[in-house]
Amino acid sequence: MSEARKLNRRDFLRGSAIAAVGIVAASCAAPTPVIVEKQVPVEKVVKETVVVEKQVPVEKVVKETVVVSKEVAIEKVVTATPIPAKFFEAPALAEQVKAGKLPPVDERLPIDPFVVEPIEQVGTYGGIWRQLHRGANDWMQNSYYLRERVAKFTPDFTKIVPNVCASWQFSGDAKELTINLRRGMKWSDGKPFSADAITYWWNDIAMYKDISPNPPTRYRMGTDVATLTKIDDYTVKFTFPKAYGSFEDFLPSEEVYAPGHYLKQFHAKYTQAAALDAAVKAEGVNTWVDLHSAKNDLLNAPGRPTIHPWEPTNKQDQPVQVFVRNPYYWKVDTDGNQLPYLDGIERTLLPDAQAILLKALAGDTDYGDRNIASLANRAVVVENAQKGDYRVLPTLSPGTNWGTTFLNFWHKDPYLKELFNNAKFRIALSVAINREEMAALTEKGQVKPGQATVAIGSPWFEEKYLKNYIEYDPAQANKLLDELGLDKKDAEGYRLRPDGKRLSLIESILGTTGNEIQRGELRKGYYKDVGIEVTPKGMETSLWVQHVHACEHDLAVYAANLGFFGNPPIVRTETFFVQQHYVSELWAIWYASGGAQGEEPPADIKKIQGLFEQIKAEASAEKRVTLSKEALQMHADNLYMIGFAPESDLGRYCIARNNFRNLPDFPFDVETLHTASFFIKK
Amino acid sequence: MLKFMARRFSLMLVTLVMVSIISFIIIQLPPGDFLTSYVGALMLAGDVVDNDQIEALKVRYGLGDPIYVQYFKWVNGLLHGDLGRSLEWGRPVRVLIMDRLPWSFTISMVSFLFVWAIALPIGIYSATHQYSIPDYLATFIGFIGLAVPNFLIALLVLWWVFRSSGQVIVGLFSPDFVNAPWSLAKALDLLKHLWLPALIVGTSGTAGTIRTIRANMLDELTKPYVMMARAKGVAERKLLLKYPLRVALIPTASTIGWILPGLFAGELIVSSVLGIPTLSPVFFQALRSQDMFLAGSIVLILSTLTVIGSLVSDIALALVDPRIKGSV
Repeated sequence: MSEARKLNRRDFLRGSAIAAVGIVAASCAAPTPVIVEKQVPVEKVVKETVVVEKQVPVEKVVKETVVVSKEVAIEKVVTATPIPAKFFEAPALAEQVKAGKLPPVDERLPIDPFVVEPIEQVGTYGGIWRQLHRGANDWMQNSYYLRERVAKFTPDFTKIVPNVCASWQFSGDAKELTINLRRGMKWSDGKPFSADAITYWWNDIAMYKDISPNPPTRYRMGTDVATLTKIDDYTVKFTFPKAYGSFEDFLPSEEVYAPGHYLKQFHAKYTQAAALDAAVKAEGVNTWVDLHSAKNDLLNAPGRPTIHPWEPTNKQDQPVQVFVRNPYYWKVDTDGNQLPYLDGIERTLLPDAQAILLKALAGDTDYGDRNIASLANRAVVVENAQKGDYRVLPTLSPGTNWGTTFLNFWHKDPYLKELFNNAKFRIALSVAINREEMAALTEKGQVKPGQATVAIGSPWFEEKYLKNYIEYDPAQANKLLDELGLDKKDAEGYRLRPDGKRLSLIESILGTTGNEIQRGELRKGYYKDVGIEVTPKGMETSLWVQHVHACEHDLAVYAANLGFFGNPPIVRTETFFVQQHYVSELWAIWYASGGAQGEEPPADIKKIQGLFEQIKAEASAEKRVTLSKEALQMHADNLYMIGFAPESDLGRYCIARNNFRNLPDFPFDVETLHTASFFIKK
Repeated sequence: MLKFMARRFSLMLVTLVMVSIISFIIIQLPPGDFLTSYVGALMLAGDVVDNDQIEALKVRYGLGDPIYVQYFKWVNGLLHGDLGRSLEWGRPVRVLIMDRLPWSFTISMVSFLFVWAIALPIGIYSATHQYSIPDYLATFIGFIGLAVPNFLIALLVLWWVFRSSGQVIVGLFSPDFVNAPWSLAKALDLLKHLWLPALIVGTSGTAGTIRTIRANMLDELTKPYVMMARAKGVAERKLLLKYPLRVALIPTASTIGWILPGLFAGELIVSSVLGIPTLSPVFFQALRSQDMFLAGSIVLILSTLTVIGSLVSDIALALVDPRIKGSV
């Protein structure tokens, strides 16, 4: 199977990553620790403390292995490859150093820079990364490439390793999370990146009422909110009201810092309102809060200090947005070359997706996937690979189940409400539809039928979650429907409800064009065969969202994904009925409001909500997987949503010019890579 | 005359107020608001949506306010020269518009010149040589230009150039010049890129104008004054240009005020496809995402231009034809 082959390649990669590990727990039979040696006379004293302090947490974690599992300890301790003895920099920066405009590279880098092991080879400096984007609504195009999170998944998704932070530790009771920063790390303006960056983000943004009316969900447990303590310049500690072991799963998607030293001039807490007024006017906004968020725009605020590899020089509404190298970037390669290799980025604004595709085919983008990669475009993309001098590489598919049907469990019609809440009815609908035929007719047979669940091959996956009730079996559907008391039929062969009315449902489909509309027509036929009248209705996106959130639908069709690599089930909104989603609506509101609002869910849903609480607190990654599987099993048994098929892997790919290197050849997620290590081979 | 102008001017103001109200309501009319479209767009792209962030944005943008409160906030800003802030781009509307309006004008003007340069001779020729082969040919091509959507022509041209040369010509400048300061080389580079959008935008305009001129000319050509002139032996060329053409142009000239918004519409998707930094793609996206301050401001500006255009052509007509003064 192709999945097995993928994993083999990943295993190989994992092997090489572990071989390069510097500091490793004694409990794991791996290479001996590497002593960090670096000649920085000015900071030598500091450096020595580092080594001592770093060993403390290591020992602490080793002790924890008694309590937790071995694997958890390994995850936390794998920190870095050996730090090179000497550092090098881009020629343009060397010139600036010579001219006295920049401090030398040794002073710009932290004592313990992140050492990136290049995927293919150590690169050379120079070149521009040409990107294409569609405008403000496409800002995510670049965000995947540039943002720096607290931690990072390894490309094989087996481990979470430190990224912005040097290391982190959980206390034994999983209530305290200590984050250690890289000593001597700097913002792109040369100012130190210290604990103040985190305290500013916490106190003056995340917890500042004017800016964030509610504290961020992830730091909340019910009404209790985490607290942050600054321990020293390079250490902070989050204290959670209850055990919160799963917080680790969030580290690869959290950015807990902001350039406070720069933003204070736009914050009402630090700057007089009168002085802010002028700046508010100049920016063309209404309040200082808008001003502050405009100035804190991660990828679109020239002048804002950053820790990304490149920083913007203008805004995204310009025909070409230009990014230039951050001279203080804190990652180096294994030879000691300061990253990034590429001099900068040029993002060309092209509002039309077809034009972007055409540009990509002509080889006018160096690397990208957004607006280019889709199953429909695959043939033309592959066909032009030679002409455009690019290669097509597979990216990791989240296995999202497009064409998933949601039922309105909170229907105003008491009969339909009871019917939809009965698992038997949902199973009847599921076996009534012919997924094989739908796949053949609407997806050229490129997808394999399956229920909405976690990604195939992910740690939570079981075959049965995917295969439950997907066999096309109209006889079984008829039998189940008869048993539900729907055994009387009218002249046209449609089943009659107990009140004598025809069982007639509207299926609200998100979107008005595309394959889903065709599938709606097919489903209409299958449902008709078992005596249910279903009318498919394509709806404009905004309208659909409002309609379903207001629980005005009968059936609603959109996509679902209960978890994939890097997105464990607890971060997905559709898995645990605790956050508002099309499958959880009023039950989630009930849960979030502590029973004050919404609608009380049945016992099985309450059980899943309870599992969420347990997983959230659980410090062992292994147990989190076991508990998540319990919830997934309940999804499979009760079929809260009716899936069609996980999306095809063929629709997930990217294109990279043949000279654009350091990209893996196994299916990858770009967020696990270091874009700063991309380079253009001459 | 002054009284007429004052009356037209005050009517113009009333029209603009009505336009601002109606456009604001129409933009708000579809269900949902900027945030639901934003969430919807993220969902279709398969991205994760953070509910908390959405709530915070809702409060900040005042999207919870009733529509009339939002309208008055916007108008109040307008009176102070503040067009508001684009929700989607996070930038002042004024900046977004001022960056793009010059390009919209440039493309529109070049297309306008192109349309007239082509349409006028062809229109006259078609009328004077009615039912000849060149007339049929011009009619045929004209109808194709009218019938085929501009954006499709743009895509076909892009694809054709890509197939034959491997190049994709989008944008107004070569990559080297985009962010370079103005120079002669940059201006020449602009001309190299400008002809294509101008040509494509102009196709349907050309077709329409050819038909109008042809029809008006045909009406005039049979009138007694033409016969009279011809009988008196006026040279055919001089006769055509001096008498029937001038009369035939009056209906066209009086609708000159409508040309500007018309070209904007034509340029809309063409600019999206060709990546031209004009106002239209921004306008289109603003409508789709219900970014009402941006969309509303652009509608207002277009309306203002149209109304001013109409005013100018009315006054011009009134000067030419005194009968019109009394009818407004």
